[in-house]
Amino acid sequence: MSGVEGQYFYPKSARFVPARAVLTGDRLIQVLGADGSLLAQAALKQVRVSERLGNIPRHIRFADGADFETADNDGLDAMLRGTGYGRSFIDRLERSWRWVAVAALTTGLASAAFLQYGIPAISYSLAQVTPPGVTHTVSQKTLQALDGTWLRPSKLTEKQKSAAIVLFGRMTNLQKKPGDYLLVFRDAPGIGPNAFALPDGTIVVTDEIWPLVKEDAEIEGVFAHEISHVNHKHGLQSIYQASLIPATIAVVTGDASQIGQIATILPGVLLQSAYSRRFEQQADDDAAATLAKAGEDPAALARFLQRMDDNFCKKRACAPSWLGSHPQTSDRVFKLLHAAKPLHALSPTKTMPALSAEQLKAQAATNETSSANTKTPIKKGQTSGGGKIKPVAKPGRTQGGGDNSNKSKPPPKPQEKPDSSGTRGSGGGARQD
Amino acid sequence: MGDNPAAVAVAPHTLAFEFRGKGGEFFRIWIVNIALTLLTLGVYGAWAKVRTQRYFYGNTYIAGHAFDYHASPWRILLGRVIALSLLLAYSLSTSIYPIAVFVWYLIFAAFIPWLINSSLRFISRNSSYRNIRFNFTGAYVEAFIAYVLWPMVGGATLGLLYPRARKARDYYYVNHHTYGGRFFETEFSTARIYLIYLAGLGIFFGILIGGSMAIGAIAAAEAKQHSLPDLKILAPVLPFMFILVSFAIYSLMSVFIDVMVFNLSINGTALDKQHKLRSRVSPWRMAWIRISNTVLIILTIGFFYPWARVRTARYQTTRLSLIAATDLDEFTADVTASQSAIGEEVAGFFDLGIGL
Repeated sequence: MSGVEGQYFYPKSARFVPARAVLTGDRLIQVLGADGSLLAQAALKQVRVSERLGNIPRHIRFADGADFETADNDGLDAMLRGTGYGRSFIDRLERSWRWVAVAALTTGLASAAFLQYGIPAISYSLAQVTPPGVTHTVSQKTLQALDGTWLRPSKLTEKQKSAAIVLFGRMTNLQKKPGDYLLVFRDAPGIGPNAFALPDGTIVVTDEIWPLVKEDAEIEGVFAHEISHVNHKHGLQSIYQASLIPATIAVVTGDASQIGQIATILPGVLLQSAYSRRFEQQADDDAAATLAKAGEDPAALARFLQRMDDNFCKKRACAPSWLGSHPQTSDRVFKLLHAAKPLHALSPTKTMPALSAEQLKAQAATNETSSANTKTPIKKGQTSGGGKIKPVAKPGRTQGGGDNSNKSKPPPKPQEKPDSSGTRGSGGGARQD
Repeated sequence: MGDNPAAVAVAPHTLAFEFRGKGGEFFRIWIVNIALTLLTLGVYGAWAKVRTQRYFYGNTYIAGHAFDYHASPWRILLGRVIALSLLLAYSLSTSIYPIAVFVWYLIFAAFIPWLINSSLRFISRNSSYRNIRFNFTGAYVEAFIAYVLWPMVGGATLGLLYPRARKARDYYYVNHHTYGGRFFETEFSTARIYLIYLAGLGIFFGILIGGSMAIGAIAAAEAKQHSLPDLKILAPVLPFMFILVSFAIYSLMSVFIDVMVFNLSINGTALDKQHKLRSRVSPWRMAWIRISNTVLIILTIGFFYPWARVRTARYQTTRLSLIAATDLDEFTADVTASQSAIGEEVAGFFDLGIGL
């Protein structure tokens, strides 16, 4: 009979002596002292043999609190071979490089699938069941926080505002519940031309956007884009995504201390940007459809995006799309044009250095001031608004939820646009273009 | 293995801790853990946790023997289910009634001492060395003072008393741990811990201000020679870079404080008033390990993680030693399991394996 060398600890004691464990023919474990004396003996099924794990010491524990400890893993395995004790299925996986490779592959695929489909699906479900009251509170808190930092009261005249509201009404009236959206005007010298939706249906446009608008259909496209964010509750989904990513990493690695580490935060930020680009794509698609439904040229949004891009990215390097929350403008323009019937003048091939738009994601919703991560190209002279936040650039991004409110007016026809070509009120001084 | 009982010097002598784990070995355990955890939608995580703990305990040696970890995965699973249920209840109720947050704060404040004791008991009773388990004897009121009251005082004084609160916490943590009924006890002066925090703040603001001035000076010099537009290209990323750099400096400060306070409380610790612990972790070395680990983990999309963990454990462990006043074998030979077998096995039904 084979045996293994180790130490025997007396019952419930740290006192130990060198010893040798053997397995007899009738499945008895015997621990023998150096002089051959019998220190302990028990049936194999009445002792607990610790499972092999790496190369850590193994224990045979007796019911009375005695313990035989050995570092001779292979010897113990050999002794117990065929008995079914001591060796685990998991250990076999860990010991085989082939199974380790399978595990690595499984992990890679499962993680990718979870990130690709799991987190978006869970966030989507959570967004659907979030009570409107919560959505509203979160949205208004966000707006308040922004009002205290990046946003100021609009400098548009009442006339300009009502003209814009009319255009907004044309878009909301095409929705199932036209009363769910509220248009809000703000001056945002630090952000620049932009529009974003809060989860409760509040859609904010900055004064700086108007100078860039050349035709009604363009701003209508922007509105439709934001409305889509609201309809799909993109904002709420972003909030949930932001909290699910680190939680997932912690659960999978089994190491909660990883939360807050750069190694966890960074992939989180990149992933969120990736999810956000999907939302933007969806909002663009919806906007094109809404424009078509309204009898407008679906390509109008594309023209507008391209113009913003031209304005902001011409001279500076805009962030690459994999970093941005928005797809590259050239891609967005291309897809929008594709959807449009008349292939307009805009040449998709022109591909500007894409600006990836920024976006003030509603994630802001959670943290006040910190709202956005946007990357904004800073325009020419523009003061870059105190530089605080991020850069921004395009219209629409952000998400939405749905809630109440008002003012969608009846859709009179496209009146003249509020100060087209800019100038007018577009305070902010920075009139681009 | 040092199975030479008897016959060792009786004079105080230093016994080094040693870590024998290997990155490649742990990688295989880790990747199998993750794959099974994913395939079981997280349930296997409890078993994965036990394997991981066993691996690190079982590779930590002193005087020829390794530590061992005994927790039952089922118990950890139960703890996780309860924790998850509470989290769900919390988010649901606060979503519907935001005011409920305050109620939860009160509940948490009342529960935290119990939860901490329960968790520390769970961990210590499931840890053993030479066939003898550790234990934790903290009681509710003391835990409340150390983990709720003191931090509140620290916060109320705008952090002025925070180092003192940290001392209270470390005292509570160390002084209620036992090994076979023999107490661990730590003692260090309040002045020392304040010095550490001051030094940490000095590092943070020193680097921040010094660095800003240096960059400002360079930028000013550059501005004289180059046109401004060049710098403007950087404008979009500047805020981001500033945040990143501040975060890095802050992390450095945290590591410094954590390591120094750890050293301080370990170096003040004695077991059974005779065997002293020594920790000689260098904050700079630890900061380097953390930073390089982070970079490597990112570059390998996570695959370096097991090596990073083993590397950190090896460094920390090898900087730790025990100055035994007498022969350790003789000391442990006297130590017997103090808890009843029932106490050991049951470890209290309410003791949860929730990691804190």
